[in-house]
Amino acid sequence: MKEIFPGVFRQGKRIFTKSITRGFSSYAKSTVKSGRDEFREWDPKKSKPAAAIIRGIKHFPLSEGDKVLYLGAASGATCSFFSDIIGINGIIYAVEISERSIRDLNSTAEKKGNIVPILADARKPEDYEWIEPVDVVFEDVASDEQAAIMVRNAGKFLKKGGHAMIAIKSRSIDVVMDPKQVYTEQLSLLEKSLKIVETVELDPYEKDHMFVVMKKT
Amino acid sequence: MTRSNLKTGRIKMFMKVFVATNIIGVFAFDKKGRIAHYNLFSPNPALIAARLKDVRAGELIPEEEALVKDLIRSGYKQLAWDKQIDFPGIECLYEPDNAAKGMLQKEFRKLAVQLNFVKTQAELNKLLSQVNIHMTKQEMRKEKKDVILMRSIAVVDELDRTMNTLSELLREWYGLYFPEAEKLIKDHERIAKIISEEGVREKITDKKVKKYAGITAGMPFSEADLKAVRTYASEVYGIYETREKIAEYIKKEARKSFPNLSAVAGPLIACRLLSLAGGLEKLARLPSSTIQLLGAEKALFRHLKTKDKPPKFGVIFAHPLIQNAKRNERGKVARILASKLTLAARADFYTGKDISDKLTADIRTKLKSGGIS
Repeated sequence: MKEIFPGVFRQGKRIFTKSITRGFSSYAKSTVKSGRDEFREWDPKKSKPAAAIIRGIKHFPLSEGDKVLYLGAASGATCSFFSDIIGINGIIYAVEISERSIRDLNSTAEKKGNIVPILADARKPEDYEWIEPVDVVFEDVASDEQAAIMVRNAGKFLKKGGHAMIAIKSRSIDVVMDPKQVYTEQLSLLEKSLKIVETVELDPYEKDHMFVVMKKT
Repeated sequence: MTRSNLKTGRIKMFMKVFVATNIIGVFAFDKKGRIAHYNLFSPNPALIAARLKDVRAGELIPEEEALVKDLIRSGYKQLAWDKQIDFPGIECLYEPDNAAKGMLQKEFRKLAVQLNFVKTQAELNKLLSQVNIHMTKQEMRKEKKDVILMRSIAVVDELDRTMNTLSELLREWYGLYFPEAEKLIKDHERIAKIISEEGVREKITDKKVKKYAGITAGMPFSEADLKAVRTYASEVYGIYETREKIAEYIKKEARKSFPNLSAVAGPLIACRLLSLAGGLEKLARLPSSTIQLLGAEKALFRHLKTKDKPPKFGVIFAHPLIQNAKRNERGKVARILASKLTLAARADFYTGKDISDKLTADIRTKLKSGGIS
């Protein structure tokens, strides 16, 4: 196991996180034991940040003790890996709009202990304005206002110098337009308030998706 | 109140405090950001969740009341809060964006440990998680009729699809034995009932079919053959009955919960629209043009991508007004219907008032003025 980013490990072509809750294998493609540690395999086909890492992204700004705002947490699959990376001193505010998904997210949160499920609409950050300033904002929401959602949330909650990551889903924004053009448009919207650090396209793991790492300056 | 008074802090009685509540408790800060008074919650996730729920509903919780009393006792005369309350003995100002909120947001981790609410940040994280799990559960426990009916209509629609397949299979099977009955009894439900209850050729009472019993072109079935097909037929018929019962239930409940939508669309189509929109609130926010095409997404996107001809209607196609309209007028009818469905959804969600008589009358006038009978 080689640590390629804080808390993210690589073995051959596979990547892993070191589990903070031993025996919790949900959402992991496999688990590998090494001494007293347990590593959960992070599947790039099911998680966009994992796809970005496999596709060779150079900046992955997430580390031990971070406070994270996660928009579009769904049932908590990717959350569970973030949870491993930030550890028990970190916290994830996981916003999800669908009640059906929150049910699964709750059970993930119960087990991990550092995930805070929030049933709310990421387009309306005023509904969860009580959360503290965060080090990282991550967005994976299927909406035609993806960039606007990021701008609003990062503006309200992201600390200065903090990082933002977004998985732009071209087909949510415009099914007809060429993905390249969608990316350009979304990036120019994001650029107005965040500095673009790096971008990577997620094909073939996710079709017509672009992963963007940004910084608030 | 003057600035100099505040700065020196000498004249306490004129001083204003800023109050806010969060997961660890209730806090009052003075203008310099020092804590004037505070009241911690007991670190029990279920209790904190219940308190925060009340706070969000704008209620005054016991911890807050105790804090206000402390403030009065200490001689404070004015407090600013993001809730509208009156309290004898102190002037309460409504300031939704007062400084206390932000201070608490930034400082609550430090405070939680300093004030011995928790021992470590990890412990606080766990509590935050637990409290919010409780809160999402509280939210989900609320009764939402639209969600229940959306699930039920999904079952009815799936049963309709399945029953067709099952009935086709039954016909093929029984048709071997009595092809004339299979051919003459067109209704799926009826033939399932007849096979299950009568089954044997000679026992069939239907007048049209009866006479073929002796001269059938069908092959002989043994007792075991017949028993098997009849068992199956009775199950298929049972599904029809179940479907009817659920549909009746949906009709009744939908009329009660969404009187306007149910009257204009018919209760079953109303529920399909709810399903496609993702709930009554979402449906109420959709424009009429979208409601007209709910359920026709495939055709719509094909139109957008390939310039194929655009769809004119989605699930509202099954509505009697569209079904009975002339082919070339269906688009126009769909547009009129959708416009009133939009109003119906909004009335159901926002006011709850039953304006269905007016809506249905409006549709009639519009159709007439559009020259559609």
